[in-house]
Amino acid sequence: MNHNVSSSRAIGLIARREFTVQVMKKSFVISNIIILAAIIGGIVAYSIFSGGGEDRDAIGVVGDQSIAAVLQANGDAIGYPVEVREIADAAAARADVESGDLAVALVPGGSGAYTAITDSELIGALRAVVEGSVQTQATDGALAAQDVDQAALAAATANATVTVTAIDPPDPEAGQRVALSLAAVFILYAQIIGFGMYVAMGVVEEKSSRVVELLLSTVRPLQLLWGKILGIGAVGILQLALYGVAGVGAGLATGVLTVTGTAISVFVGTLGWFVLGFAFFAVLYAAGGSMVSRQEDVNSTTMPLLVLIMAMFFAAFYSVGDPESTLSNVLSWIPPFSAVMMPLRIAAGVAPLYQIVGTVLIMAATTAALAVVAAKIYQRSILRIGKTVTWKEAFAR
Amino acid sequence: MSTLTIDNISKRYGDTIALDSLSFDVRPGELFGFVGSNGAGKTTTMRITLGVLSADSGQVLLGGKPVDLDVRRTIGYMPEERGLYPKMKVGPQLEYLAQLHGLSKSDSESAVQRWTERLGISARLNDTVDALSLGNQQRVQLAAALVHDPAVLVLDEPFSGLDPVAVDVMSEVLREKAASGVPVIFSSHQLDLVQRLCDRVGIIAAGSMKAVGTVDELRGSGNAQLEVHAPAATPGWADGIPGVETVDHSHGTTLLSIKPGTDDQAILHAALATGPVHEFSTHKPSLSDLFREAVEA
Repeated sequence: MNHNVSSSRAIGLIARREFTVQVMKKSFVISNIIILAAIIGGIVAYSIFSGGGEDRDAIGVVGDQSIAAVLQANGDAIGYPVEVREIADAAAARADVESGDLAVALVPGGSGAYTAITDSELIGALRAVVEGSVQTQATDGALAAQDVDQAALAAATANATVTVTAIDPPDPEAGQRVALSLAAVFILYAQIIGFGMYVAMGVVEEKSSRVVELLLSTVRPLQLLWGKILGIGAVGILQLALYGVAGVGAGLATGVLTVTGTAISVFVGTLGWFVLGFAFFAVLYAAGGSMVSRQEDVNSTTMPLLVLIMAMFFAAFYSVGDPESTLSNVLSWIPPFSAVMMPLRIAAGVAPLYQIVGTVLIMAATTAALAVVAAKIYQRSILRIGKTVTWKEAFAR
Repeated sequence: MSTLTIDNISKRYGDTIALDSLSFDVRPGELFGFVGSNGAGKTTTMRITLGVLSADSGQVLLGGKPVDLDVRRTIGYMPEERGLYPKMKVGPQLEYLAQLHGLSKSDSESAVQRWTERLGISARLNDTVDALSLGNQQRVQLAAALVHDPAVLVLDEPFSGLDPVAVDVMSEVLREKAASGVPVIFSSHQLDLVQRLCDRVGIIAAGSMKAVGTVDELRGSGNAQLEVHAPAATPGWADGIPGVETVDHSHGTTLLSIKPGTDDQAILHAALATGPVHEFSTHKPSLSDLFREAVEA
């Protein structure tokens, strides 16, 4: 019988077991179904309750409808589109305003005057649309009475427009970018803590059940460590991909998200940075897990990691509002902060390519160096049953 | 099949010497019983053999070659601290362990089938380990040591916690593996079982081997005891005979300790000289006696 097992075969077997065990866990499957339903349901509900995006004011017009076209044109011109409805008489108009169906109703008086019936007051853009339209209607009527050539007038005034040159124009996608950043930061936070903890618990399980002694008589400690991290990491990527596809898919399908390109690049960036962030913390979580002998003790060695992750995410939430700040820029170069600052900057659209490449390289190099140290700790601690090994002891020896 | 050699192994834990230049062989086809008090060094020896612990000095050889990871993978091991994934099903778990030891998927499936049937746990393949009784968990643990058709078996306390039926199955399996040419070493505190089962026995105390040999050799090497029932004999009747020492004398029964090679006929003559002799029987020391002697020495 062939007893040779290559390193890749050993790691592959271990990773496959970790993956299978994790995805077959009832609690894991159920919680994921709930979360996916919540993501899709939440986005669909948002799209329904926000009325599909635009919510126009309705203006009712009694009598002559020629002003309707003017109202619509004026509304569009000032960026406040309105809906115009024909109303039979003043009484009906009053009733519709009272019931809230109409924002305002126009009842014609004499010589171009109108009475506007509204709930309490007529203000802002809607007032501008109404007053401008009544003016235009009256002016047009007067000009026509003077036999002015309407076409010549339009041509003569066509160039009298205002062109806006904004120094800092508002980004129409800003709202969606912030939402995407927040989603990316929050999901990364949950994924890194969750799957880091799965690694630590898996290591402790092997140690406390003593199966590790049987395993280490046939595989090397590092094969066991990497197999576990790869297997659990693969589940993490799968879960993140499912959430991303569900979230971005539902967002685009319902029209809540319109920035397809940004959404997809945030999705890909988040996935990529999860791999780096997870690898960074997974080796540390494995080392932390190997230092204790009982599940109850695992929090004592993983607490410093949790604190570091919390610090990362506080910095991230702080930076969501101002992704171009110096803090965000500096932290994005420092591992492990890059793992959450970069997806945020990518979502905000302020990450140049050189920064993406540079921070990925720094993060990867740091993770590799850390993996060597953490793997040493793991190797030293994994068979030490009994008293919890402290981080100080673990690094010292 | 090759000999497993423990060659001059030493191991310290801080100030405690766990193993002190320990050496012995387990030959192909041999069932080797490893006995000693708690803390004598049995488990440490086995862990070093499996590479789970590293020795401070000395080495473990199989067929004259140092045991590395590839060789180690051919060893079947049952750790003292039983260890299996508690929440994993028996069948997939055994297949996984077999594959880690180098079996292909299909080989692992048939091996698991074969061994679980043999050990009477084939009905439990789809149960998780923690749903099994301790005795059945023990059988799964033995199956885990056997599924990859090991070239060496190293079993730490395989009989502890087994019911008599399971003890019989375990004994039978161990004999069978030895008969197929595999060196088998196991530790146990059940000395009668070791005496009955083993071809050779090693007695370890305080990290060094006190005695190694076949059970008969060991029993023959110590002082035999002779019980003589001669009612008329007076105390000290046998003291003049070379190699003989009186252990006890009461109610006409004398218990003598006789060195190997002493002429028992001379003792019989001396006994008959005191009057009638109703009983004259030698007792070889049991393994338990030898064990006590070795541990107390």
